[in-house]
Amino acid sequence: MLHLCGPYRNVNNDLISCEMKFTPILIFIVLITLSIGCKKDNSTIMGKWREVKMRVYNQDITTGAVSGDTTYQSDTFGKFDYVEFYSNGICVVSTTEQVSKVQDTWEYTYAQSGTGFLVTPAHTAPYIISGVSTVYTASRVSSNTVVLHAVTSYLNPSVLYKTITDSYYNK
Amino acid sequence: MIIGLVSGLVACKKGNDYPIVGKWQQVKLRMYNQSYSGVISNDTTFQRSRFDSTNYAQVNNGGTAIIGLFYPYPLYDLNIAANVATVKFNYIRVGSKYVMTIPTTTTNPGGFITADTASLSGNDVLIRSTFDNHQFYNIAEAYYSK
Repeated sequence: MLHLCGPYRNVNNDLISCEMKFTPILIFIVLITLSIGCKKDNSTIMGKWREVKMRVYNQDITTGAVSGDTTYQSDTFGKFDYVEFYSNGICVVSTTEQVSKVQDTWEYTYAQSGTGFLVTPAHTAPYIISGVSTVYTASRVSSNTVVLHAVTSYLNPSVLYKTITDSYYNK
Repeated sequence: MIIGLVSGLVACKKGNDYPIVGKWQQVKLRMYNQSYSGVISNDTTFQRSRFDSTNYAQVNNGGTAIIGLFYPYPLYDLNIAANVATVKFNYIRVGSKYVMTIPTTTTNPGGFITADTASLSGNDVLIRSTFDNHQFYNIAEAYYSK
């Protein structure tokens, strides 16, 4: 027997209202919906990605004009140039040190932000000395490509531009 | 004899002190960019009047150092990270310089690299930071005196 609208009595003769019957179901549905909506889907970016291209340029803070536009192709990069995203929100960026050609690895955390991921350095202290501040975001732009976008600002008041770096990685 | 040994040990320990050890007051900051071919641009210098007691370097025995605010007010307001009052470093002596190892060299995903060193020249200490962004070097040089 269906009791969709009005109150009714169950087999123990308890008076059951529509609200009492459906409230737990509604709460369950709402919780599931919220859970799905809030889930950070790191799986889209997880894994190890090898660097294949890097574009770096300066952009005037006021006019947006671009200067010093330089692109490095895949032959610039080697086995030490990669980024790896782990399921626990940690990512490791590996680069080849320019002079000694040894491997440098650095740890970041990452969290979903909009359609991409905000990548935060584990240590911010060097910026206090170097006078630069960089904001990083990562996004998967195709099935096989992740881009790390870095915007660097300078404390030097005579530097009137930002430096932007787009590093491309493939699986 | 024991007194002699202890005295010797104390003397040896003291002998290991580097001349850079002590508290230093920042007196100047120069910031500039340098191309890979050596061309300098955006050369900016702040003199002694822009610094106060919060701008210092405390170099300790045992390879540790603390640096107060590196940039004069109001520059540090432009960078949240720079609002942190002090930075702890380790240092090791390499030739005539002291390589600051904490915070150690860092890089961004594109391969930015900084290398911070301190060096002693006469009665002044120079702490130098070099940041390579694949376009040029962003250099900051802080001068300290006792």
